[in-house]
Order: sequence, then structure tokens, then C-alpha cells
Amino acid sequence: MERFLQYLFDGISQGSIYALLALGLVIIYRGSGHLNFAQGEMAMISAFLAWWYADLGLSPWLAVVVSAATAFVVAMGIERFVIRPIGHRSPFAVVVAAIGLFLGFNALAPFAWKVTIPEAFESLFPNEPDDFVRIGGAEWREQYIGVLAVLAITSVVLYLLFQRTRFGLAMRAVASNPESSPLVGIRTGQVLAVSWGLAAAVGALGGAMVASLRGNVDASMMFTIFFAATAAATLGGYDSLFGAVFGGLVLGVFENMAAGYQPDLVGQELKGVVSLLVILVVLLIKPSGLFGSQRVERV
Amino acid sequence: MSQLLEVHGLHAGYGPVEVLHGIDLTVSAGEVVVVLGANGAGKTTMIRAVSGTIHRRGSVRLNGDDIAKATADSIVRAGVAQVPQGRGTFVDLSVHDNLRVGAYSRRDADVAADLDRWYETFPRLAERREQRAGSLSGGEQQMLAVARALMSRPKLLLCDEPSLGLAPIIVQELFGLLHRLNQEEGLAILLVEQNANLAMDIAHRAYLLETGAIVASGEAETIRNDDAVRKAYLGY
Repeated sequence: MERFLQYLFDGISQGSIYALLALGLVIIYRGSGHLNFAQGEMAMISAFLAWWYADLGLSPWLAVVVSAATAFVVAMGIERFVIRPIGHRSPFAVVVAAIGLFLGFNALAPFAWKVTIPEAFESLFPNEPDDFVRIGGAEWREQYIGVLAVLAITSVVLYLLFQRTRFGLAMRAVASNPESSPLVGIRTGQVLAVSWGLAAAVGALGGAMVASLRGNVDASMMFTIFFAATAAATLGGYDSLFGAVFGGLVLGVFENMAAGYQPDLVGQELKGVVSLLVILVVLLIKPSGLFGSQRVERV
Repeated sequence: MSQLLEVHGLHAGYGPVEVLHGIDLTVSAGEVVVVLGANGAGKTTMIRAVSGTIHRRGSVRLNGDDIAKATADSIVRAGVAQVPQGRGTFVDLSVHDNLRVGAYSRRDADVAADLDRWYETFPRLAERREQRAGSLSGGEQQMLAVARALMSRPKLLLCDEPSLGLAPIIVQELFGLLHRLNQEEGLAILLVEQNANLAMDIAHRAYLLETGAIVASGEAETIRNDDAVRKAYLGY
């Protein structure tokens, strides 16, 4: 039981990070149908920004918030000046552009900050050896609980934004029917730009959480996490925000259980393969994901 | 009468294919204008060119303001609402959200009152306000599309084949409503219809569109009594 709880807690924490990244993927996909391959690298750069801002003297949390705001603005620009003009020509070009962004951002970190080794990142949560809560014999470290709390707050804020605000209504309208949206006076371009901004800001939070848990920032820190996030979004359904959170948490737990209970068969080395399997199984059995819409429509 | 909509030399099409070859058309304030035409004549293209959803050339004026270069969303804000062919409702949104988003171009305090009003006009929608629009029947979705367009409080309503695929009784109801809105509130309507008889009943004037060009126009009565038109479009 103690072991089970331990794997569960570790899994939920890991899953919270997948969920934050998956939320970003889903926000962009809902608006435009594009899979943003650069989501992970944008989060990585944002983590570097947070590290840099903190280095310049901002308090750690303020540095994270400012980096998320920076990511929001930059991503809006990327949508407006890269994705949108290309998207008019061909949807495939957007895939290529996103991969280009992936490579560009990956090269940017060592270039912009002249760093080649991981730079220390101050933990955002209490992280002394005795900073943990004991539940049923298992230890839940406070920084892990903190990451889960960040996910919870982000989810609630996103829910309120989408369901309770005028702009959220417009975002849902564009997700449902982009052709009809201008016919009610919605500026579709503005909605898409904000979607990118929002996705990048949520991703920046995810990047900061990763950096905080690792204790450092590094150009390769988001590789496996981004991959797991795409698996989480596939599991939850690419157009469902709830699905992204659910998929992220389930995948995190599943992965940790698999690695923990099957240390020889799966173990830490093959943990990442679990997400590949999840993608495969979901695509075979329920391609729209658990909570994705299948677009049933009476005519 | 002042011209609400004034179209002059309008060309429009899709990519390299030009469908409208320079048409002239006007709608006065408080007027119902019907555009008749066979399949492929360019009726839908004309509606889309006016609402700014496709590429167009020529002059389009609304209350004297040039809107030929304006984007579709700003044309809605200027007071032109469209009931698109095939309805174009937001199928994943609830009926209520569809109506709310219909008022997206407005920023006044009367939105709630308008919601009540259209729920009263369309009791079926009121019954289904929390349902996904995609789960409504065809007729209900058409009602929703009309109600959504009216939520923007338009000066001019563009209707693209509103009767398509609807039961005759619902079509009657729909045209009755359009007629009332025109008579009682002076809503100007530009209507494209294959169901010519019903459309002519509520129209003040009519245009005949053939392969992308206007071939006849005039008072609804005159057009109606024209032998060639009667044979081709009214079927008697």
C-alpha cells in the first residue's frame, strides 16, 4: 500500500507537468487544428527566461510570471507573423514551420545565454530534505504538491476563461466552426493569436515547474516531457482541455506504476516508451481520445 | 428612399474561377429584395461577396460607407448579419451559447432582453437551450441560425436559401417571421431563394441572376408577371 501510494504521488506530480504541456497543445489545436511541435521547446526557452530574469534580480516567482507574460507576447507574434501567413498556403507548411521553430528554439538557448552545461535553477517550492507530507506511510514532497497546485490553479483559471468570459465564448466558437465565426463579428485572427499566447504562457509554467524539480535549466530538458504531453493529449482527446489534464495525470501515474512495479521489464530507462504505447493503443481503439469530440452532427 | 446597400460592378469567385461578372444591386432601408436564380447562377457567391467572406472586386457600400475592402467580422459590426447556407451553427456549443455568440458584435446591455425575445419567438429553442446545437434537427438548427443572426441586431439580414431542406410548414413559419420583422421593425432583407413563390410573396423587389450576371430586375409584382420568369422560376 505504501509503495502504491508512493508511485501514485510521484505519478501525479510527473503527470501534472505533462498536463500543463498538453493543455498548451490542446489550446492551439482547438483553435486552428495545428499540432505545435515547438510547444516543448517554447516552454524550455521560457524556463531559461525565468532563470535569466531571476539572475537579473527578480524574485523566483515573479521571474516565472514575467517569463510567462513574455512567452504570451512572443507566441502571439509567432502566430501572427509565421503561422498565419504560412497557414493560408498549406496546412502541411505549418507542420514544417513548427518543426523549424522547434529546432530554432533548441539552438537559441545555448546561443542567447552562452550556456553549454545546465544552469542552476532555484526551487520554487520548499525543498529541504524534510519538506514533505506523510500520507499512509508514503512521502509526498512539498514541491511535488506545489506542482499539482499550479496545475489545479491553471485549470480553474482556464475553465473560467473559456466558460465564463466573452472572449472565452469566442474561443470556443472558433474551435467549433472557424468559417462561421467571422459571421458573428469574431476576429478569428485575434482569437488564434491569443490561443498561441495562452498556450505558450501555460507551457512556460510547465517549463518553470520542470526546471524547479530538476533544479536546473538545460536545452534538452523538455524532449521526453513534450513527447509524453502529446501522448497525454492523444489519450484525453486533442480538443478537450479536461482531457489534457486527465490524460496527463493518468499517463504520469501509469508510467510510474509501470516503472515501479516492473523495474526489470520497464524501469526508468523504458518509462518513455509507455507514452508511445499509449499513443498507439488510443489511436487504434479510440482515435478521438477519451474526451475528444467525434463531431456527430445532425443535418 | 436612401440606399442601405449599394453594390456596383461586383466581381467575385473562388481562386482563379470568377463566378460573378460585375453585378449591380441595391437594397433600400426597410426593403425585402429577392435574388432568384438557378443552381450555379452565383447566388451564394453574391451573398458571400457582400458579407466579405470571399475575395471580391468592385464597389460595395453600406449606408454610403465603402465596405468593399472590409473584413467579414467588421461588416457584421457595421450591421449586416448573414444566415449562411447549411446554417453554419456552432455545433459544439449549446443553443444558448450560439445565441450569446450571435451578439458578440454588440456591447450594449440589452442582450439579455433579446435572448428572452427570441426564446419567446422560437419556443423550441427555449426548450433546448442547454443542448448542443449539433443535436438539433435541421429545422431547429435553421431557426437557431436565424435567431443567432438577429441577435446582432442587424440593419440588413442576408439569407442564403433559408428554406433548404426544411419541411413546408417550417418554411411557411420562417417566411412569416421574416415578413413580420420587415413589416414591424423595418428590417431590410436580401434573400436568395430557390423557393421562389414564397420568397416573392414577401419581396418588394427582385433580381434575376443567370450565370453570374443580373438579367432582369424590378418590382416583385412585375417580375412575377413576366412570362419567362414564371416558367423558369415560379413553375406555373
